[in-house]
Amino acid sequence: MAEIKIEKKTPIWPWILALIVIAALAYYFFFRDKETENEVIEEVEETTSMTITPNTGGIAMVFTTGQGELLTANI
Amino acid sequence: MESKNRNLYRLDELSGYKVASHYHDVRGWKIVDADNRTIGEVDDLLVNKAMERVVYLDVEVNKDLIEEGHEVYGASASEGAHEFLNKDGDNHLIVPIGAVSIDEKNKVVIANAIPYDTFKKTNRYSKERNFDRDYERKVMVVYYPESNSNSASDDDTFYDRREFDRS
Repeated sequence: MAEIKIEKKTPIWPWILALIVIAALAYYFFFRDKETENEVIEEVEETTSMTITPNTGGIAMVFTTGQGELLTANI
Repeated sequence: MESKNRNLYRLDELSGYKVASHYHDVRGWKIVDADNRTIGEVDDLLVNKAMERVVYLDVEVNKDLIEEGHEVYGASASEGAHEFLNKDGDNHLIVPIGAVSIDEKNKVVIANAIPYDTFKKTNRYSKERNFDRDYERKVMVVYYPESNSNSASDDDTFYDRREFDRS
């Protein structure tokens, strides 16, 4: 013969809370990375210069990295 | 449902409960007798909250069975005696869980232990009016005339009998 048992439903609010926390963390890390990225781009733009070398008549692009290294590219 | 003292609730009104895993939620399934004659449809599950299990199926009775039941009452009334009188709108029956088996494949509940004719002469109730322990006793006497349901207790031990046994 049949038997049907019942059980308490698992409350849903812990899942909702977990989702909110995950969403908040994702929001925080996403925008924090984006701000860092913008700062780096601005820094690179500020430190890029173009130099015309008088001896060779060539044009050299000089980049300064964030660590202070100089990179030169002859065009 | 006016039966809080019995710990008897409709599962539909217990928002914090559901049918346990590995058990079948038979709400909406057809219920038939051993000869595959339709009794009705399982409208709800009546559960004992303390025991955390279903004790009755709440069955919405098939119209054909209600009409046949009227004929039975008419015949017995002309003979001068009948035990029950169902009013218009009394279209629900309780069926103890121990009286049925579940055909999972065809999604059908089979009332093996209770013949079709017994359902015809069983007192029904209206979902709006609900029922009390006296109604439970009356119905159990019709289903199981040999058992001593009238002397059964008023508390949850009422369901500790073979009519509600799942083995």
